[in-house]
Amino acid sequence: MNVPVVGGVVFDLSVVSTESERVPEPGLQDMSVDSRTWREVLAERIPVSVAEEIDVYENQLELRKQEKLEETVFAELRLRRGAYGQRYDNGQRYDGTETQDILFPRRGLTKGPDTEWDAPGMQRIKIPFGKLSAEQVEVLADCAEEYSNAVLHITTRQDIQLHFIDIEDTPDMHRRLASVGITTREACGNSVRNVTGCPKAGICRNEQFDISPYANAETWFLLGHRDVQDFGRKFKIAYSGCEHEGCARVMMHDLGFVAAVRTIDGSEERGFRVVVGGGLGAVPHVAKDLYEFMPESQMIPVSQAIARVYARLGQKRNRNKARIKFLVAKLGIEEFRRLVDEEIETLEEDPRWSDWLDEAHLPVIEGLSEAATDGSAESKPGFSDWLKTNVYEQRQGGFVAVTVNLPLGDITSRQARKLADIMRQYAPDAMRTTVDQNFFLRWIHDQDLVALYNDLYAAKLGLSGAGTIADVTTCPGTDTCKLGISSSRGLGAELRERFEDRGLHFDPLLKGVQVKVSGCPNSCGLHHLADIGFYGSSRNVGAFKVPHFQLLLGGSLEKNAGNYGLAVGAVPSKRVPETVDRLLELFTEQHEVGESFRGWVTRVGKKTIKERIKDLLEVPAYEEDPTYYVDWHDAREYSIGDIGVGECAGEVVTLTQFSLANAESKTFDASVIVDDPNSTESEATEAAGEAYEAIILAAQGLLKHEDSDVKSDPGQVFSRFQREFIETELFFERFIGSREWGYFQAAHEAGGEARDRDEARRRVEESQLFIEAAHACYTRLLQTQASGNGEGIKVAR
Amino acid sequence: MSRREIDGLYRVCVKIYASKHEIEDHAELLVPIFHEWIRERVLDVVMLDVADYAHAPDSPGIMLVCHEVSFALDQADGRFGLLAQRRTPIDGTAADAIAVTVRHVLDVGARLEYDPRVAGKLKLDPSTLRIEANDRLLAPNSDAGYKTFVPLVRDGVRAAFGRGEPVVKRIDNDPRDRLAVEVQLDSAFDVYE
Repeated sequence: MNVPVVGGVVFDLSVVSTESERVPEPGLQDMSVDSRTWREVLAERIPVSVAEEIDVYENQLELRKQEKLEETVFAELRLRRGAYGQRYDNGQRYDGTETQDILFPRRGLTKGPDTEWDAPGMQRIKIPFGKLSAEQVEVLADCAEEYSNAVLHITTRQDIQLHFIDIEDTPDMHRRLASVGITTREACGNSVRNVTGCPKAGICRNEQFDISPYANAETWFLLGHRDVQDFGRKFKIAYSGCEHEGCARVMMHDLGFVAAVRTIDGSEERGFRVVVGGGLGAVPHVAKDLYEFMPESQMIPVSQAIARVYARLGQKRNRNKARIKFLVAKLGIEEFRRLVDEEIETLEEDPRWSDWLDEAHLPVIEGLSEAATDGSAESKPGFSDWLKTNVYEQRQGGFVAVTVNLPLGDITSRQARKLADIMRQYAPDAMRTTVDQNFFLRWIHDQDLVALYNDLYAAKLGLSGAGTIADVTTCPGTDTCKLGISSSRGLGAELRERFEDRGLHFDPLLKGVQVKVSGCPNSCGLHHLADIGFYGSSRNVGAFKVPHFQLLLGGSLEKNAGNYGLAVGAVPSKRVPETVDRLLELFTEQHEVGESFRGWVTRVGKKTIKERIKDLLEVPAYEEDPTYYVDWHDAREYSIGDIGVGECAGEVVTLTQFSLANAESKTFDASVIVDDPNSTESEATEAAGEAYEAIILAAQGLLKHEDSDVKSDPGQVFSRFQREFIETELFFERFIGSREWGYFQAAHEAGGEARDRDEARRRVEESQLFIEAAHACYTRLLQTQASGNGEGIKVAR
Repeated sequence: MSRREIDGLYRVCVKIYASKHEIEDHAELLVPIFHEWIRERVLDVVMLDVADYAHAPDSPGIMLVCHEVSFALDQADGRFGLLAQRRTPIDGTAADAIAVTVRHVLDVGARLEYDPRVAGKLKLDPSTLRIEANDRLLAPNSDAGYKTFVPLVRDGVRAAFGRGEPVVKRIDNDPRDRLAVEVQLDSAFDVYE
């Protein structure tokens, strides 16, 4: 027994027993008969059907603990309750030098394939269209404190996530949330995810009408509905009150509704423009118009019919092709529309389609009838800056809405309770979460604004810069996500701090410039929508692995996020801040009057911009500067640890590396063409050919690892690659490879051709992803080779 | 609420405050130390990862997340200190859970203070402990909850140190916060020997 010394004081710890875990026998957890449980305490506050659902889930959990339920089945069941996996839940963790086993007490007991029971997980909590009451905020704060680490995280889809959760705590947490009307049902898994909506709904100066009651009706109609239980993948729905702004990002959704009003015989009719088949992910699709105008009464039946068509015809086996965007692309929008029209005719009339409609037309005033203060408060420091960036004047005279700017979307439990107090004081039930990972307090009387700011300031929630360049959006990345490649939060925090230190969030020229970071190509950080976007990737430099971020330029939120950025090049992680600085300097020097950042990118061209940042894409040798080989806010060496440092000092560039570099260059050229609005349709479709050539080059590069004499004929490369990398499964690793091989096949079958600009754009994205997978595969080849040589290389997972 | 009910309590937090705190960049200093501890398995718990919340004001700051108990360089109550949060059940009573958590926080505090990279930048004052019941069902922040919690705290602290009579005082906090007490360890504990 060691004797710790704290503050110079010696403590004898021998009197305390050593750490001893109670590992209850399956099904034999002791429970005193008079012990109160949340189930009993909250019985009166939870609807019976909801309480039963949670009881069933708790039983499933017990059955899995006793290994009486298949792990794959339990995995989907818990996902449908929002209980998600988290990084290292396979029981292994790279520690900077080698991968170590995590010695969980019940090692071997799993909650899904390769997912240890004891490993902490993430709980996603649905917040439909972001609407929260003060009471709900308080319960969320309690749950974060007791079951997590006292931090609530707002996601880019208006959900709230808690991390480091014990699976056995989830049923009680669900009960506590249900007691205030919050559900976690279908927050993850192959189901209808949180229905999102513009946070300005009902107060916006540009909206057609308030979409809140529609998003609400859609949420509760589809929740648990039998027609949405058999999808091959997730299904995301969004509502926007207007066409042009990007607050709801409708065009990146599986199903989107944009409020519209038409006049017939002098009377106005509400309805929606309906779009379908959008999505970001690794290969983004802009949603297609399904109906130009759909009357409001048809909104739910249309959704139901779309769900049924998707469930029936959507891909189930290949999850990489299972989102509805692939079905729409495959069928074509005309055929898809025909099928939906046909499906609507088969639906049984349901009163819930429209029994809420009359109420949807009633005016809603969520603000207090009178101001809470007399308006005489003197403002705390920072008010004028905050006023410039965080306050929105509502359509309703005398009211404003205020953004509570949260660094990286995080708020502590104590802050959340203070926020609940502030809500009660100024507008109790009028808060929304936003897709920019902030809170939005609506219906604040003008007169209360200073007092409100003072209260936020006291709670350390008065940060200015909302919606500016400093309000960086990030996904969880390598902090907690199993798929993270690079540290998106580490980079996001770094960029944010640098922008704030230099006051860039108040620079009028940079107003509206958005920076978004994802830890991998899957786009949870919405990097495609940013003026300056990044997604995590890695590269080999000599014998080491170096964290990188792929830079994307040209995205925007306009037209409901209808413009996606394209990749420019992979930047070493540690050089991203310098790269952003250089881009901002170039923009500042070269912009024309009134020109936006995106406009500048389009005018100058990504090729020219890439030339100007070329020097920043280089990585110094490990011996020269090892900090490049560690990710942001981490201390572990990202790369191949202690492989013969002397050998790599020579920086021998292999044939594979040359080929991969050439492939990247080719993809970049293709991306420039498809992204150029002045390029013709034929030029754009020809770019698909370049993208295909890039894939061939990358595949050829991998083949060259073993055989330097590889022919360049695409047919031969394809056959050899299939034989040597696919049939041998060398190209595949857990989450990487199969989807990318599909891209290769598709491009090969199409002979490098594309039907239109959209398809060409997709091919370009796919070629970039294939190259990323080729890099990952090459790293594994090096690892295997070195292990074979007895060099004991250890590579980060 | 009976003692029997609250004996199921294991979610407790113990915090010791800093008497000296001159760490400028918490992430830069602490992240490498915690990663090293994980690599070298220096604690007798299952260490999982390092979490960085330094960007959020009054947050847990830099956390060492372990299966049984997490440690944070915490500022949540407005005062900087080292917090240990018990996460999993223990083979024993609530008082045992408190004792083990006190022991953990002291152990980690000592390791930090004596790490050469920290040397002199951090001093923790072990004569005052903040102990919280992190379970609103078993130990609500109420008079009744306090009444039941106090003997457990006394037992737990005595078990941790093996002697002495701690002075326990309820912290007058927001009723929605965790039930919290301040424990003064006077000379009876021989902690200054």
